[in-house]
Amino acid sequence: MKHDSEELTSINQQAAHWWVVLHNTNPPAAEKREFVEWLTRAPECVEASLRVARVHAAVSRSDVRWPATSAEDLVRAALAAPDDAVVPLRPHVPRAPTVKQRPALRWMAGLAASVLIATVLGWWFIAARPEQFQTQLGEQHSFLLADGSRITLNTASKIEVRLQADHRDVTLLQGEALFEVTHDTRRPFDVSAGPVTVRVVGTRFDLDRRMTRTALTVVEGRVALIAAGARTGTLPVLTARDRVTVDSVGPGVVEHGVNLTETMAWMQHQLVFHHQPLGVIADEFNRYNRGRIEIRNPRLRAQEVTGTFRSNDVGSFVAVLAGIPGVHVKGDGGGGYLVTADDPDATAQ
Amino acid sequence: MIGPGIRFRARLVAALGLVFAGLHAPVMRSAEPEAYTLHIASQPLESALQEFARQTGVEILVFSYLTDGQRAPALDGRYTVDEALKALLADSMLTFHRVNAKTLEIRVAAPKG
Repeated sequence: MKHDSEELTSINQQAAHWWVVLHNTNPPAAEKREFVEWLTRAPECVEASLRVARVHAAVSRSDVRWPATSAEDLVRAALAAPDDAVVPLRPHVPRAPTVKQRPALRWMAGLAASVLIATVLGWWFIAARPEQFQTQLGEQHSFLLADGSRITLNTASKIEVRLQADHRDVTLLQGEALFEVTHDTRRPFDVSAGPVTVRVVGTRFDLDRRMTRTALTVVEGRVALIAAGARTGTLPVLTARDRVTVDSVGPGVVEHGVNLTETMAWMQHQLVFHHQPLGVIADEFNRYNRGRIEIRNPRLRAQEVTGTFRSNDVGSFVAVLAGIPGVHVKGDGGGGYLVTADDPDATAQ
Repeated sequence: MIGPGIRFRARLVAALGLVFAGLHAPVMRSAEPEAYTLHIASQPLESALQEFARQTGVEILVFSYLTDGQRAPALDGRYTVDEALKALLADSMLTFHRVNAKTLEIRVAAPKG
C-alpha cells in the first residue's frame, strides 16, 4: 500500500488501517515491518497511531468494523462513549454504565490508554530500530546481541543490526567482522556487505569488506550466499574452511581447506601471512595503524614473505625491512614510513 | 629544624625505592632466556616457523624463496627461542637474526671459514 502523508486525514486513515492490520490475530511480518517504516516516517504518524488507539479503545464495540465504519464515525462514537470505556487492552469486557460525563477523567483515561499503546508500539520501535556498532582504527570489539549472537568487529569497521521477530538483519557497512550466530531456524540471520548477502541459521564466519571485493570465510556450520552483485542463478553454499571472494563481477571460485588460523589471527591482534607479497602486508598493517607504510619499489612490494606480527607493531616490521641491504626506510614526517630500494632487483639478502 | 617535612621526604624516597625495585625485578628476570613448551610436528619449514611464532608469541619474518621446498624436524619439549630455532633450521642453510627483543628474521647463514 502507498502512504501519502501530506494530509492529516490521510495520516489518520493510515493509522486506522494499521491499527486494524496489527490487531489481526497473526499479522504478517512484512506488514509489521511496513508499519514500523511508516510509523518512523514522521512524529505525526506516531500521534495519529496513538489517536486511533485511543479512539478505538473508546469505541470498542463488537459492531465496529474497519473500513465499514469510517474514521469520522469512530471519532463521534468516541466522543459519545462513556468514560470508563477507555480500557484499551480488554475491549470486550462488558462495561458498567456510568452516570457522569467528566471530560477531564476521559482525557486522563485516554492518556493512560495512550501510554499503554505507546508501550506496545515502542516494542515494535525497539525491535526494529537499527543499532549501530563501530570500531576506530586499530580497535576491535565484541558485541553480544539480544539473541545471543556475538559479533566481533575488526579495525575501522561498522555494522548495523536489526533484530526482528522473524528475521535478523545485519549490514556490514565497512571493515571486517566475525559472526557467531545462535541457532534459530525460525529467525534467519542475513548479513549484507554491499552487493553480497549471506544467510545463516547458526554458525561462525568471517566477512571482510574491502574497497572492491568482499571475502566470506566460514569457520563452522553452513552459510548460503544469497546475493552477490549482478550475478543471479545458483549461488554457492559454503561449509567450514570454505572461502569465496565477491567482486564487481560476482563470486569467484570457492576455495576449500582455507587456513583458519591465518584468517582468524586478527582476533588475537595478529597478522599471520603465508607467501604474501610485502606490499599486501604493508597494506594490512595500514588497516590497523595511523603510521602508514608505503613501499615505493614495485619489485620489493612483490617479494613474497611468510610471517607473524602483532598488527600494531609496525615498528618491528619496518625494522626488518630496514635491515635488508639496499633498502632504505625513512619517516614521512607524519608517523608513517617511506620504504625505497636502491636497486630495482632489491631482495632480502 | 628537622621537622615532619624531612621525615615525609625520607618516607617518600623509601617508597619510591620500593617501587623502582619492583619495576626492576621483571627486567632482571628476563635476562635469563625464557623456555617454552613446544609441540611442533615435522612440516614444511615456513609453516613450522609460523607454528613456532604462534606457540612462543614472537614475531617472525622469512622471505618465501628462502624456505621454499624445505622441511623442519618435529619439536617436542622445552626450548628457549634460540634452541628451538636452531633445531628448526638445522636441516637448512638458514640462520636467524634478532631485529629487536621480540622480532626475528630468518636469513641465509654466512658461509663458515
